[in-house]
Amino acid sequence: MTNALPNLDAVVTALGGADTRFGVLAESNTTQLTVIARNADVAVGDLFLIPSRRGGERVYVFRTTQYANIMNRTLEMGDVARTKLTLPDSYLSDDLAEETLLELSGMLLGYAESTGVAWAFRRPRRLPDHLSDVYRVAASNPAMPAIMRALLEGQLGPEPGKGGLLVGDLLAGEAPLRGVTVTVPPQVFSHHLGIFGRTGSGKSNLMMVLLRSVFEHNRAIVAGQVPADPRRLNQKVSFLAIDPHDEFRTWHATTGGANGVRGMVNALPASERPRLVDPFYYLSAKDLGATGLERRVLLSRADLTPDDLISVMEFSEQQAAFCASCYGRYGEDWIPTILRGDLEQSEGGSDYLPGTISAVQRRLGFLEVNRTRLFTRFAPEAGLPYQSTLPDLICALEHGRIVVVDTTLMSELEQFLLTTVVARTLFALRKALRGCDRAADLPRAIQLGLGRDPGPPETLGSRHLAEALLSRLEDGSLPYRQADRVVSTDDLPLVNIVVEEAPSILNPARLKFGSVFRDISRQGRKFGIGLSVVSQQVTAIDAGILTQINSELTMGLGNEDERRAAVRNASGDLGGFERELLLLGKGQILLTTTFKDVPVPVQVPAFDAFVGFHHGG
Amino acid sequence: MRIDHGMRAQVRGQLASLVERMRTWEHSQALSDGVLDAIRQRIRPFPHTTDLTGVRFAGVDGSGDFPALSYADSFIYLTTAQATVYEARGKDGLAAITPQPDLLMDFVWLPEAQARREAELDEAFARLAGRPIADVVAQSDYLTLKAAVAGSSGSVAQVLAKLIRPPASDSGNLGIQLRSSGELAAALRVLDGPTPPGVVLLDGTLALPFVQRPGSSLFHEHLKRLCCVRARAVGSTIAWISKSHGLPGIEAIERCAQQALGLRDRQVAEHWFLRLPNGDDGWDLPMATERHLPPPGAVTYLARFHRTTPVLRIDLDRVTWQTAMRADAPEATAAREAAWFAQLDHSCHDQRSYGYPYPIKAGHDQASLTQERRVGLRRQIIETAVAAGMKRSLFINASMATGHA
Repeated sequence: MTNALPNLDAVVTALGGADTRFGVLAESNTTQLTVIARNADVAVGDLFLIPSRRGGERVYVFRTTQYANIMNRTLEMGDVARTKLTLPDSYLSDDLAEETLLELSGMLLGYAESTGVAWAFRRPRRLPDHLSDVYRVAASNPAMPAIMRALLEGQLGPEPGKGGLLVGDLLAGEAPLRGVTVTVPPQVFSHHLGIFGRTGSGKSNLMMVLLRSVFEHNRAIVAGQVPADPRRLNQKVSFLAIDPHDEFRTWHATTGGANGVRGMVNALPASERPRLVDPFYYLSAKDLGATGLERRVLLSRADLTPDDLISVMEFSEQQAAFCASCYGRYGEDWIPTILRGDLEQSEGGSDYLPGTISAVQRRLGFLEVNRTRLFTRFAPEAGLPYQSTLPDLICALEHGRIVVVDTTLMSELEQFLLTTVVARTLFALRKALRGCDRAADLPRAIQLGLGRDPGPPETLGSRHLAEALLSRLEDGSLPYRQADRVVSTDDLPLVNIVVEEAPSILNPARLKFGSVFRDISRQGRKFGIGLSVVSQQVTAIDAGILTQINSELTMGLGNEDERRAAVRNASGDLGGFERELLLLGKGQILLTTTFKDVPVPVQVPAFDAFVGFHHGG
Repeated sequence: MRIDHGMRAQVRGQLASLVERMRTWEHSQALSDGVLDAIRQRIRPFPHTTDLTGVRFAGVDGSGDFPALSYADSFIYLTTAQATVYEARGKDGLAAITPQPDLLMDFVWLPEAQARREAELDEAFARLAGRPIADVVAQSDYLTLKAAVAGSSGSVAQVLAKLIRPPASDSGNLGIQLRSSGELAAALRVLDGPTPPGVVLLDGTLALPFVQRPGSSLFHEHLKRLCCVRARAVGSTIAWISKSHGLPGIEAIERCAQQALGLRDRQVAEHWFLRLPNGDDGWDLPMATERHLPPPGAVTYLARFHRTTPVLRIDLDRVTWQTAMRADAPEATAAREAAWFAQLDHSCHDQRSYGYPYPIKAGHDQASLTQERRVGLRRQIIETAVAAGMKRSLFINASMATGHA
């Protein structure tokens, strides 16, 4: 609360006084307000403030969803237009009384109520008084940022650098209100995030801004600038950003624009890198070195489980059962065994039809030698040891890192599998951690979590992955132990895994047959793991996944069905915003989240300008 | 209303009879060839004027709530009137002049008790006129006209004593008196102002209902003629414009206009005027004479500004006409008249009221009370009265009580 705006009188004065009112509240009910306003350049989405004293000192925030040109006292605009068209020598007299007016319709976002010392924002359960004056939220009023910050405190989010992750500036109509920043708390990233928008709506730029915000948030925490808080704003955030176009690393640097994550990293003092960047921030299937901050990503066939494949590919029930049977019998060697075709007969004869086996072999064909740049062969007996970036990637995410994964040289299937394997492994580890009270029991819990039980009876599971992680547990790379204490998952970073092209793996058909994402979407937040579901379509995402998404960054959607679905599934009430979802321009979003009471329109800054602002001060 | 079968038959019969009488009447009003020829000769065109500069037009209209409320045996009437002033700005049309006249708004309380009622009404008339009613009667030329038409007029005191002051519950007549007085008072204020406009336009006619009756008169008749006197004094032309000309056979007159202007069959004549016989201009129009047109002290025209708007009746003060328009030669008079109508035509081209002077339309728009405003004002009256200790329960919204609103 700013002391400069302690009460309604102060707000009205800051708005310019009664003489500057933009309109007057006309008919209103709890679903729609109508404002008669002066003739001005208004845009759908413009914000207005309505001071009212009914029931206390309140300032209502009104957002216009449509408006009409009207003439004062002239009922039929059509008649006037017809006359103008057909009688070219006619004129419209220059009246002193304002004859050309606007009729704005829209909804209340909510109201700020004076508590005497501060303003508390509430959901729109009440209406302003009859014929209340209406003021425009105009960027031209230098006092407006302070007014909006005071009134919307709590809805705008924590201050950037103090636990708030910046999304953009409050959007008033077509223009952002500079200085009124909108942020989200770090928990948004572990409670699943939906990023919806048609092609060209600015999703990549939004991702860059989020990457930067996460980076700055972590940096502020490491620097001790975010105090402990009941809201746990001082939790670091890890971000696994799948990058299908390889643009996050250098962004526009090659064309003279801002640098991407590389620029952020390079700008860091060397002393900060070990706590914010190491061991890497960029992984790619390109021929990069095996070490360094930008390095080659490799997964081993041994990292894969049947669940991973079933989550991203189509398998019949028989085929899925066959895979599960092989995994149970051969453990991490199940894929090479199937591909080689040297399957053992069970005691009762062959368990599966040859057609099933060959169908699975065909499906796993993309893992054959020379057909993948991502997966390594894994055949220790033939001198091909376990070779995978997965253990280090898991450790990086458990330390609060941004990791960009360039998937340009990966097939779509490989991209999906990488996402799945990382998500499933991390989820398994955190579940193991949560279920373990004693540090001494942790190694066994981790092994069990990865499907491996030294027995008896012995189960094979992902042995090499488990061993690699246990060795990192021992050397502290996997930060699950502090002295003799098991670290709580609440004290680990919140991890967000981006699911690009989400409809391909989060569609209803895929989830019907079982998917690691079903469990993560339902339980991930308990363990601090969230998904970022990135899609051009809302309708293509499984309804069960949608219901688990607690925050949406919804951009322009061109399809009416998609807009309707976006409104229906939003975490905040987007009723009445359908039309606006069509009109949102590039970088404009409607932010709905369970962490805010009302939908908040936001202009995401262009990343270049955003970085320039921060670099240039 | 419920109409049963027997009633329906009766109603049909009545309607058939009524229509037959109307048809017969219409035929009886047919104009003779001689009259039609005289009309054709006197119809004059005026130019379609798209470019006029400097002329100022005032327009006046009124409204009110008659009555707004009743309280015990008394009634509260509300009168509103608005004058607007515009200046011709060439092809850009009209521009409102600042400052515009204030909205005239007056509440009057009328109890049934005669003495008090008459006193209250007189005070209301004086408030509206902005001067004592005796001054209005004395300064107006109404008594002169009445003396000429009815043979006698009486002194100011006698006239005031015989002013027609309807009972408080006679809302129809009181409404007419108050509304007319409000409109005329608004016009008077414009004429009394620092820069009187060249043309003052009112909605209605210059009819004087009681001028031919000895003794009685209506206050607004005096006020109407006072406006003429004041307009003459300041060099303005005041005119009353009515959308209801009240004449039968208008189709025949329009055909005459079509022929006079040399138009083809289906073309509608526009930009023409016809001065009705004055009694001294050598022709007669029986249907006008029967209807006492023009009214005493007036010159009456029929005119059409645009094909989509009806023929209008326009009344001018006869004295003004004699001094400002009448010339020695009829053609010279017609030329002056055409020039005046051409000016007026420029005020009729606003897109909101094409074919009708916009200043009157603007006055109407600003003076008229929406239902919401009526309700709001009624509530305001009651709240003020209750705050002063009066009983809320004794206030009755008469219209609401009888289901008329």
